[in-house]
This record gives sequence, C-alpha cells and structure tokens, in this order.
Amino acid sequence: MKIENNSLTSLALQKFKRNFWGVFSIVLIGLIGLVSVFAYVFAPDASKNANQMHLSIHSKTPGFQVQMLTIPSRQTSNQSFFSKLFFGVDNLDTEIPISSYSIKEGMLSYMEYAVNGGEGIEKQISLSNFPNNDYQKYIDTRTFIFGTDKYGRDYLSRILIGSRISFFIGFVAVFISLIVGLIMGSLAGYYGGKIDAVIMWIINVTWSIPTLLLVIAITLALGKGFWQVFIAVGLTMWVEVARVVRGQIISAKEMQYVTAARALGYKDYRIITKHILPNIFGPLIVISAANFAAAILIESGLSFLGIGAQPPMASWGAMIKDHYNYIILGQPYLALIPGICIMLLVMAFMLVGNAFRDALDVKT
Amino acid sequence: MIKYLLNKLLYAFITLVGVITVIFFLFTILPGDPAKMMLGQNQTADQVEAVKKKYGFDKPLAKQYLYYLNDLSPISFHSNNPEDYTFLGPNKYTATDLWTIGKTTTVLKFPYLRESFTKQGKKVTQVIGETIPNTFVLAISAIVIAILLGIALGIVSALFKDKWIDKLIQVLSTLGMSVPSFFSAILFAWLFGFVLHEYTNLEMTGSLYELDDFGEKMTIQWKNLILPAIVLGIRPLAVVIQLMRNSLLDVLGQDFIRTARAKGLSEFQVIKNHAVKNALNPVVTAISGWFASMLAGAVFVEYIFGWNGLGKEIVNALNTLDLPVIMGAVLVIAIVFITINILVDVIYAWLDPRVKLY
Repeated sequence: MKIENNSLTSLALQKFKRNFWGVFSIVLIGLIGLVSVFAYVFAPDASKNANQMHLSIHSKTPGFQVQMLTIPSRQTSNQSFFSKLFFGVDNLDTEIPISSYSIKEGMLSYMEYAVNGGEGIEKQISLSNFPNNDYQKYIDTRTFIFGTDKYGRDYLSRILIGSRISFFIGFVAVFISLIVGLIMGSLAGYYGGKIDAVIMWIINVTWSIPTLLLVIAITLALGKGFWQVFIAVGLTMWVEVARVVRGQIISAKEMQYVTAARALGYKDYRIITKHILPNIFGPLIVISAANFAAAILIESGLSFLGIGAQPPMASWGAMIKDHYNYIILGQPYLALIPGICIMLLVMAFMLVGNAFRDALDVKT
Repeated sequence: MIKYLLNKLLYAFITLVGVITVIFFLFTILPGDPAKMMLGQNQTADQVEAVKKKYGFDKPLAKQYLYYLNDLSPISFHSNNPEDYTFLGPNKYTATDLWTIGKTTTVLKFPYLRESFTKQGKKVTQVIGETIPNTFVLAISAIVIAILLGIALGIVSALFKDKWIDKLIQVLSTLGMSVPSFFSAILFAWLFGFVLHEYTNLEMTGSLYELDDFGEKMTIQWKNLILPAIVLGIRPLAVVIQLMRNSLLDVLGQDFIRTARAKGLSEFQVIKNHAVKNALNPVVTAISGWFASMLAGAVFVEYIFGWNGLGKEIVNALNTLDLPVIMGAVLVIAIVFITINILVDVIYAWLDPRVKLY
C-alpha cells in the first residue's frame, strides 16, 4: 500500500503543481538559469563577454551570413578548461569578415567585407600564418541568428551571456536582503521596545527614499561597477523582508508553541531560529520571489542609465541603452529582443511568486 | 487629535533627519575629489583650493555635516567673521535676521540646497522649482489614468471571474508589472510616436511647454502629456486592477451583499451602491503610497520622452555628476513621500473613528 504523505509541505507542493502558470514559470526560470550558467557553451561567440567585434558588419539583420577568416594568434593561451567554460575564452585571434579569397604563390589574398556591399580592400597574408598551411580550417561561413550589434558583435551571444547578470543580481540581492531583513526584523519583532523603535526608524528612513534613487546614491558612493549595484540593491530591499518578519514574529510571539518553548527554558536565539522562523517560511518565499523580480528590474534600469554593469560586460539593460535609437533607423529588434527577455524573466518570477502565495496560502 | 497630529509631525521630522543624514553621508564618501569634479579638465591648484574653501570640503566630515544641516534648516546660525565658513555673504541666500548674540547671528530663511556644480552656480532650489511642476502634472495625470481605468478593469475582472475576459485582464496586468518602465516608454514612443504617427499625430519626444513655430513664445502642449502619462501609469494601473479585483471578490462574498440581493435590488444597484463602495478602501490606501514613488519612477519616462521634469534633471545631473542637484532631488522626493504619508494617516484618523489615536 502506498503511504500518503500529508505534511503541509507536500500539500503545498501538490497545490503548486496544479497551477499551470506557476509550473510553466519554474520550468522557464530553470531553462534560463541553465542557459546563463552554461552561456559560453551555447553562445556562438564564446569569447569573453562575447566581445569579438567586427566593425565592418555592424548592425546586420537577423540571419545575416558572412565568410569569416580567422587569423590565429601566435601567442598561446594557457587558460584552464573551466575558466573557458564559465568565463569565456580569452580571445587572441583576429577575425576578419571577407567577401572572397584566392591562393597565389603561398599567399592568401582576401577581399575584406565592405560595409554597404561595395568593394572592399584587398589584402594578402602568408599561408605560414596558419598551422600546417591548412588555411581552409580558418575560413568558415558564420550565421548571425539575431544579427549583430552596433560593434558587429554576435547579438545572440550577447543576449545569452547578458542573462547571467540578471540572474546573478537576483540571487545576490535576495540573499543580502534576506540576511539583513531577517536579523533586523527578528530583533525588532522579538524584543520590541527601544530596539524595535530604532529599527523601525531605520526602516522608515530607508522606506522614505525611493528605491531607485537610493540605489543610485549607494552606487555613486561605492563607485560604478556591477558588484556595487548588487550590494546597493540588496541593501535597499531588506526593508520589505524586515517588515514582514517583524509583523509575523510579533503575532507568532503570542502563539502557544512559543510560550511552550519559553517554558522549556530555551534561549531566545533558539526560539527565533528553530521555532518561529520555520513558521514564517511561506511569506518569506513569496517576498523573495517578488524581490528577485524587482532586483532584475532595478539592475536593468541602472544599466540603462549607464551606472550598472560596465562595458564590455553584456547586460540586457545596457543593450537597450546602446540600441534604442535604432528603433527609428529600421532595426527596432535590437532594442526589442533584450527588452522582451527582461519582461519574460521578471514575469516568470512574478508568476512563481503568485503560485507560491496561493499554494502556501499567504496573505499579503 | 492635536496631540496625534503633533506626534505624527515629530516622527516625520525624526525620519527626515535620518533621510538627510543618509543622503549626506552617501554623497560625501564618494570616491574622488568633489572640488576637482566640479572644475572639470582645466584646473589649477589655486582654483581647487578656492572651491574647497567655498564649499567647505577642506573641513572634517562631522563639521561638513553640521554645515549641511545649518544650510537646510530654516533657522540657521551664522558667524560675523568673514573668514568663517558660516559667514553669510550677500550672494548666498536672502534671510531675515532674528537676533545676534556675541559673534553669531541667527536668521530665518528658506532651506538652502546649495548650488549646482555645472549650471554656473544656479541654486538647486531654483533648478528643482522649475522642473517639479512638470513632474507633478505628469504624475497626477498618470495616477488619474491608473485609478479610473484600474477600478473599471478590476470590477470587470471580478464580475467575470475565470471567464476569458478576466484571464485576459490578468495577463495584461501581470505584463504591466513585469515591463521595465524605460522599455515600455521606448515601445510607446516608437509605436505611437513613430510607426503610427500619421494616425495619432503624437511626437516621440516633447515637453509640456515647447517653443512655438516661430521660436518665440513658450506654448503649452497638452498632447505631449498623453504618452508619458500612459506609460507612467502602467505599473500603478496593473496594481490597482489586482487590488480592486481581489477586494471586490472579498466584498461580494459577504453577508450584506446577500441582504441587498434579498431586498430585491437589481444586480447593478447591488454592485454600484453596496459592493464597489466598500471595495474601494484598500485601493485608496495603496494609491496614496504610490504617488511619491511615481516621482522617482518618472526618471526613465521623462528621460525617454524628453519631458522637462525633475526626473530628466536627475539623469542629467547623474551624467555630469552634479551632486547637489541629485541630493536636493532625492531630499525633495523623500519630503513629498513623508508628507503624503502623514496626510493619509491623518485623513484616515479623521474619517474612520476606529483608528486608534496614539
């Protein structure tokens, strides 16, 4: 006979599984997460930050094809396999888009690809530049599925690698906000009195400064860069967590199980971490999903203003910033693709948050 | 009631002091020398010294903080010694002398937010005063759109629960919450100002006041308000729809609705007079909190539509690192936020006798 598992967790899980959009979003998030971890495996341009520029083929339409001549570098890279896998290849080779080539007397002469289909410059290179004179291995036809950006980089690769920042900021911001929020909220809720007053004051002060502007201020104070943004976003979002934790602890404090724990002579620390916190797990999950979504939105906004991730790092917000004037130049997709990516990811997290809220029966 | 009000005001004041402190320290521990930042490329050591002296950058941090508070406070203290930082020169600000004790004069003045780094010493108060009315117009229009449309759609959604129209509204509302405002601004500007320009006759960018065709007079251009107001309203709209739907569904399940139906009222009367009226409460509370965050949210919308408001000013100031303007703007928005919160609390206490006054 099969034993029915009726714990609250499994009941909630069963309820969650029935929510189509919740499951769909979890799967979507999982897929995007996989893509972001193994971005350099999937990306056609696996160079670090997908930063292989070819100015002569800038802003080409999706599906654009060109012959590419790769001139291998004489320097050898001693990059480890894992570094290549997770951080991209340190690119030393030169890539030149060409329109035609021919071989004469041990020399490879090629016609450089010209911007508007006009005549390019003819150049020659000795075959000895290629290992074993096997030049054919170094000429291939490239297809740019999403076209190229304004520096002639592969747009698909940039999009794939850009997913990393969005994911990463979500994790870091949620992590920081949970730690700070849990500590502050528990202290305020459990001890009350003066500690509560001081922490509530800090919460109200942080609350009064709009999140975006506070993040901008912290980013300015810490200096431009993506770690600074991570910390800044985490430091502004703990407020939400702290308020919820405080409220939940104040009501949990009156519950009999806490009185019982106190009667057994347990220490405050044990009562908070072992008895109260597991019981407010539900609201925390819901709020973390919302914070994840908010963090992605804020990061994209900061990168759009140019104070988030700095070039050449790929970030969806920065890609919109770089290309949004192309919408009137007949190539709106350059701004639309990263925008749709942000929307999809944020929406997935919101739907997951909603599904958890329904499954765990959390009132917000 | 008076005591309640005073308590609220006192707490707001303490919060404000906290905000000022946070802003001051965040912007003062910036890496890099603010004096050099102000002077730009061509600077001499003398100039740097002079600027440091003028703005008090050469003083210790604690002293700079006190000077900052002194500048912000409506009642401030000034030394009669021209060498001292707090000496009130003729160009600093207009103030009314209250009294002089020894070498210190106490004056009454309008809070002084210092001068812009980049606009040839234009006062920050003036910069904000010129731009914030435009932002208010934008934010109020956006809120009005969000409330009217949001309540209507929320009611439709609740009445047709689980029908296709409810699902459609839900999807649109989730979409509205997920789209970054700069992206929706770009989309709307492109779609309605460029692709459909022939039909809408709207421009991609434009502010409330534009020079007329002869370049002489500033004329008011209401049509430039349409797109930015809609875009800024998207997020509050999405929230209002959800709130209204859930709140109305709650109310519809309650006993007094059954009573109203039992009395033989028509379904329309039940909804209009009994259900909607009671469902509005949580919506109104939520909206009041939205207003101040819209002032900040306007940053992207104003930047993309070229709307001459506080948000666009903030982006400009960010690009030129015009710190006093950013500090002033953050402070003003925080003050608006705090003020609105007090107003809402007080109005609630006044309207609803169940609210505890403490």
